Amino acid sequence: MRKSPEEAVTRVLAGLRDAEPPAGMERRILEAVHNRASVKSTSAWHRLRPMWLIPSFTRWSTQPRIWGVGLVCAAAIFLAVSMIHRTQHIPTSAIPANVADARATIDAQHPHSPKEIATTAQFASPTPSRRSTRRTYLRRTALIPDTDSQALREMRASNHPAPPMPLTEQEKLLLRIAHKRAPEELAELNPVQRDARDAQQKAEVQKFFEPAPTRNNE
Amino acid sequence: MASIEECSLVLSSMEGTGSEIDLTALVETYSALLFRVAYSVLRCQPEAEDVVQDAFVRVLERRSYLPVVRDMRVWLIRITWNLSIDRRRRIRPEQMDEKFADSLAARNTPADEALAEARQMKAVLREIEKLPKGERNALLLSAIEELGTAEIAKVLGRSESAVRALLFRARARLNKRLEKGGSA
Repeated sequence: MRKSPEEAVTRVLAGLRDAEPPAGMERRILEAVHNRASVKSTSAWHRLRPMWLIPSFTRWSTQPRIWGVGLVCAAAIFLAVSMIHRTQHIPTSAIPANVADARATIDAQHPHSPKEIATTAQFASPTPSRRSTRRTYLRRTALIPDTDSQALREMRASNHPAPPMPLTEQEKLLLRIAHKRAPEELAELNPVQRDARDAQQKAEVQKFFEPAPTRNNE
Repeated sequence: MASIEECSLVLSSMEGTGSEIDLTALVETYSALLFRVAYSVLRCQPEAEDVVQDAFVRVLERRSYLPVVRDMRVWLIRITWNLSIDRRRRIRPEQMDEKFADSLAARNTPADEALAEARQMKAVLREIEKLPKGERNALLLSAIEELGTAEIAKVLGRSESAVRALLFRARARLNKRLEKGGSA
């Protein structure tokens, strides 16, 4: 039996009101949230942390996080200083003869130039293991997992544009006129053609009512 | 002796314990309500569940704001509402409405009557989607029993009197259009 419009609307709204969530939804949501939380807990700065720092970090786990950050910064500064110090004090026997000459020339020309520029560019590091460790460290820091950045990208992504709106009633009428009317009717909308047609019709009417030429006059 | 990785994971879980407990309580308290909010827009159970999940993930990402939020319920509803509106633009709503309309048809009636009823429900849903945005939003939110006019007003960012006017106009417009022949 057909419902009245008011009843039909009430029925639809009641259907929306009575919608029950599917079974197990809460559990699934909590799982998803916990998974996301565990991904976030191993965030970028945790991964940047070198492994040999972790025991000391856990030892101070009761301290505020700022201690850990300070420790990481101190370790980075120590590493940088030790590398600069090492490159400045390489024994002469480790340097090839031609480089040693070049170095002496450079030192003579620019006594205050940084020595590590000439040395590090010319020969292999005396501590290849440290450089490869540094390279691995840099590669590891570059490989920040995509999940966080991807999640941020998706969150910030702009919305998809809305689909095109359906035609309004006026637009539908116009289309109907354009497609369904006969070409002659559409042509009548053209004033020049309309005037020409009117003039032709007038001429025909006049011709019809003109007295025919009689045979006597011939 | 625990491994280094275990120590770091335990530490990170200890750091997040406070916020995770809050989220669990939020999920248990509000998930059903947020599902109905999403369902009122999407009319599809899997999509509505996805939206609710996305909403809680957003809450997790913005958990630093939790102490500042005055009205948690309205905040969550507003997040879910906006996510639902976005999701509806991407999916094909006609398919979802068809299934929903079929589910509304009475089950104990003959097939031809059930078909006619489903067709009428689809027409109602079509007309609801054609309503002006403000009227449509107010009408869909009013379907949720737990939301009063005051809360609907907060979610939509309008006054209560404006929401009441929108609801009245929405119903009047729907009745008029359906009587005219939208229920065909």
